Amino acid sequence: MSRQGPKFNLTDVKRLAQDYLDGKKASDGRGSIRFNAPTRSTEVVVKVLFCRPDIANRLIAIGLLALEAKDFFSRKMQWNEVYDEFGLEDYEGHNWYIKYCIVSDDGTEYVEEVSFHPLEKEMVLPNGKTLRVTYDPSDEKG
Amino acid sequence: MNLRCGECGEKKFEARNVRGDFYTPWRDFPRAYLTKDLVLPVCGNCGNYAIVDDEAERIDLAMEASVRDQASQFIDIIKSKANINAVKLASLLGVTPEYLSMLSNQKNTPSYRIWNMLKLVSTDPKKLTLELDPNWDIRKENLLLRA
Repeated sequence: MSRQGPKFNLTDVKRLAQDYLDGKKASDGRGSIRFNAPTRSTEVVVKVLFCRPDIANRLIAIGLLALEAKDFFSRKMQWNEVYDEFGLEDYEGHNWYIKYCIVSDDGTEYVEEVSFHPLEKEMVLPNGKTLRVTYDPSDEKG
Repeated sequence: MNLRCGECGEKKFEARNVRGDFYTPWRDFPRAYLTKDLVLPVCGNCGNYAIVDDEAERIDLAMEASVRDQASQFIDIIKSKANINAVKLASLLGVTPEYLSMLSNQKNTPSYRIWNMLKLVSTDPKKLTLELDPNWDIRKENLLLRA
C-alpha cells in the first residue's frame, strides 16, 4: 500500500487547515485540526522555532496549506486507520515529516494531526526527491 | 470525546487537571513546569494529552503564569537568603531594577536565561556574588576541588 497516492484529498485537508486559521470550528464546536500527539507536533515546533504553542499550531496549519501532491511520501496503516505521510521541504528553514488523517465522525470532520516535526532521517519521496535531515536535536538548549 | 490517542491508539481521553504533572517546551524554555491549574484532555490509558480546541492558548496562559510566579518566588528567596536589596540584586544579575521589579510583581515574563539564573541562585545566593567577584580565582577553586 506504500506507493499509492494519498488517501485523503489535499483540497479537504487545506479547507480544514484554512478553517483552523480562520477560527471556524467543526460541527461539534471543537477545532478543525486536533493534535492527538502534541509531543510529536506542537511541542516539537515550539522547541525548534521558540514560539508559543498556539503559534506552533497555526504554523502547522500553514504548513498543511503548503502541501502539494509532489510532497506525498506514503500511506501508513496504524491502529486500523490509514494515515497519509508527507515530506515538506524547506518550511521555516527545515524539512518536515507530516502524518495525518481526516476523521469524519457523526458529521464532524477534522484533521487528526499525529506528526509534524523535522525529519529524523532522510526521506526519499516516490518522485525521487531526497529530503535531508535539517535539524539536529543535540543543538537544543537545556 | 471520540479522539484517538496519537501515542497509544486508544480512545480514552478524559478531562484532567495536570497542575504539578506537566512539562512542555514553551517559548525559549526547553522545558517549563506547570504550577497553575490547567484542565486538559488526557489519555486514560497512556497519559498523553491532546489539543482539540483552545488548549494551546490555555497552555500558553497557564505556562506564562507559572513561569512568572516561579521567577517571583525565586527573587523573594534570593533577597531573603542573601539579605540584599532589589537594586543590588538587579546589578548582580545584570538587569535594571525596573525590570527586576516587574518580574518580582509578576508583570513581566523572564527569558529562560534569567529564569534559570534566578532558579540556580535561589538555591545558593552566595554563588551570585562569588561568580561576579573579579578576585575570584576560578582556576584555584577548581584545583582545590580536585585535590
